[in-house]
Amino acid sequence: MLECRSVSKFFGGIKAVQDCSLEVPEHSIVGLIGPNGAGKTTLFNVIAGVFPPTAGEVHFKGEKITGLETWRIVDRGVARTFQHPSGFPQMTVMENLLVAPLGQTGDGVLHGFWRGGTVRAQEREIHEKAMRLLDSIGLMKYRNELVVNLSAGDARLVELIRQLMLDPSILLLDEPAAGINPALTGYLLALLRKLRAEGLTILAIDHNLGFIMELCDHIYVLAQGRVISQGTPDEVSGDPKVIEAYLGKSA
Amino acid sequence: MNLGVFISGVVIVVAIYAIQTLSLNLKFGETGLIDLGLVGYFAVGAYAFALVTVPPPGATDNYAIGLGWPLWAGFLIAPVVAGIFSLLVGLPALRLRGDYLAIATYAFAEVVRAIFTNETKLANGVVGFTNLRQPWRDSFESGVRYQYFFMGLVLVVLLLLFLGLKRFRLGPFGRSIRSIRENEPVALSVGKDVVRMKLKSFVLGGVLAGLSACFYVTFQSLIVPRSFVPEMTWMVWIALTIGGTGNYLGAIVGTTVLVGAQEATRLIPSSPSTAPAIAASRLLIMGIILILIIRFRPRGILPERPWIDRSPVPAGGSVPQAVPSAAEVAEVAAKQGRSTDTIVD
Repeated sequence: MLECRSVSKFFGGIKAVQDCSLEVPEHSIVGLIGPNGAGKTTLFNVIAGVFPPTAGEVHFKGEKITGLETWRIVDRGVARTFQHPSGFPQMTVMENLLVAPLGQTGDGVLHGFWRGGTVRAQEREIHEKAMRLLDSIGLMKYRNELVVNLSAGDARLVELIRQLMLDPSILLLDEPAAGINPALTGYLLALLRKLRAEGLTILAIDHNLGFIMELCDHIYVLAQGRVISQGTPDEVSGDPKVIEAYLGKSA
Repeated sequence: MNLGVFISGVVIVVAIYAIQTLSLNLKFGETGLIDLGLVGYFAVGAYAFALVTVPPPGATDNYAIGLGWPLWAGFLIAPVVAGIFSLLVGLPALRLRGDYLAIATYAFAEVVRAIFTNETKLANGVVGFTNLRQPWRDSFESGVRYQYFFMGLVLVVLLLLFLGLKRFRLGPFGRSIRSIRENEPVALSVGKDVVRMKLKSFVLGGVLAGLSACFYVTFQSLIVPRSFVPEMTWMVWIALTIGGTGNYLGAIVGTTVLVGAQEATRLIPSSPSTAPAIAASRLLIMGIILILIIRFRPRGILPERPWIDRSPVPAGGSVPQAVPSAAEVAEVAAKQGRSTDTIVD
């Protein structure tokens, strides 16, 4: 479904990502791990269209998406979350969710003043959806709270369901479990699996190896911008190259 | 001096500036665009109004264009021209962010003033136009009565704009531009065409400035380039800061406090020797109000208020949809060797 073909990204002399190829099949959960500075987030940014790759291409559903504006890539069904779940800090949780859905007729400037039946129907629909999602993660009580006031864990959940409001085909998760307490991690894990069962494809970055090993079907390991290993969680965790990348060479 | 005339004059000036403050609140308060060229769109609107309505140049006149059209045409065309000018400024400038946008917009406004000052052929240069027509002036015998009427007219327009913008704020477009202000990368990540939306807000703001300029020109009944100095831009910014960034009512209140306090100094009896000091006190008042507000009410007299969703929570409260069952969570947590006790809400 999503495919990176020999993607490289250089910032001046820094080779953040070098010749990375990876594939995310439909309905799978693929993990991307690696030590700090391995190039995971850079690769995410290339996929999401924040900046173009220095070389290589990204394909989604068989079409090349490199070079498209960020919002056009989102429009095609690629949603991503951010490492820092700041969202829209001075807006309420509910508003954060309502902003997201694609194809809102009301985004046209004239609809700001005159809202016809189409806009009102859409508004009702996305509001219902937001209520449903809030209910499902137990954050209904915070719907009128400003996002800036949420705890780190709740903010991360809001970050996640905001992107679910987009009805994406694939969700790129940048450290979904960072800063979340262990109990919530188990909850998140079950939630993501449930979403996959409902048809979502996921590509996740995380530092929490226990979490990612539990979550993913397939894992790519990045170190210094290159894919050094890939396979099932068991294969990867036994790979000497991976252990070396994380812990250094044994004597 | 007749107090009624004085007060209605102040109210008119306040209302004209308040339309500009509403425009800035749309651009900065809602969209987060730092625009230091407010006076530029205002000037373009004012000149468009003048050139559409002044009579065609006679043999002794210097200016090149004068359509001599009715005033209502001026009121329609000037905002559109100011909007088009905003579009031309916005297309290159809105690709810049923060302070770079501020510098670029400031520069555009200065260019506008330089052009109207120096291009004598275009709009009579530094002389400008005087004795401009005023709408429905002939229906009133006394100037005083006309001023009251004009006050009513401006207030009605201000009220309509205020109500419109308040409604605007709560709609999908208002929500989207606020999301851009709050976090541009995240707005992009939910598929907003950020540059295009900024441009829409920017142009709409320009149209409002152009409308405000029409009233300014008709009220003053004259137009000269030296009216359009950067001080006008600062006034509007200070008014919005005092009133409350992100709050349309605050924008109007801030303008009332600032302009009202300044104009009130005209009530102080002055002699030729004290007049300069009284004139200077206007700047002093502006400074003092601003400092007090920033110190004691940094978000303004009426701060931005978030939208509160008052729709009822569906009965039954929590019938989880996507939520994993307790058993599933327990299973996962057990695999990780952790307790699930803390999950319970």
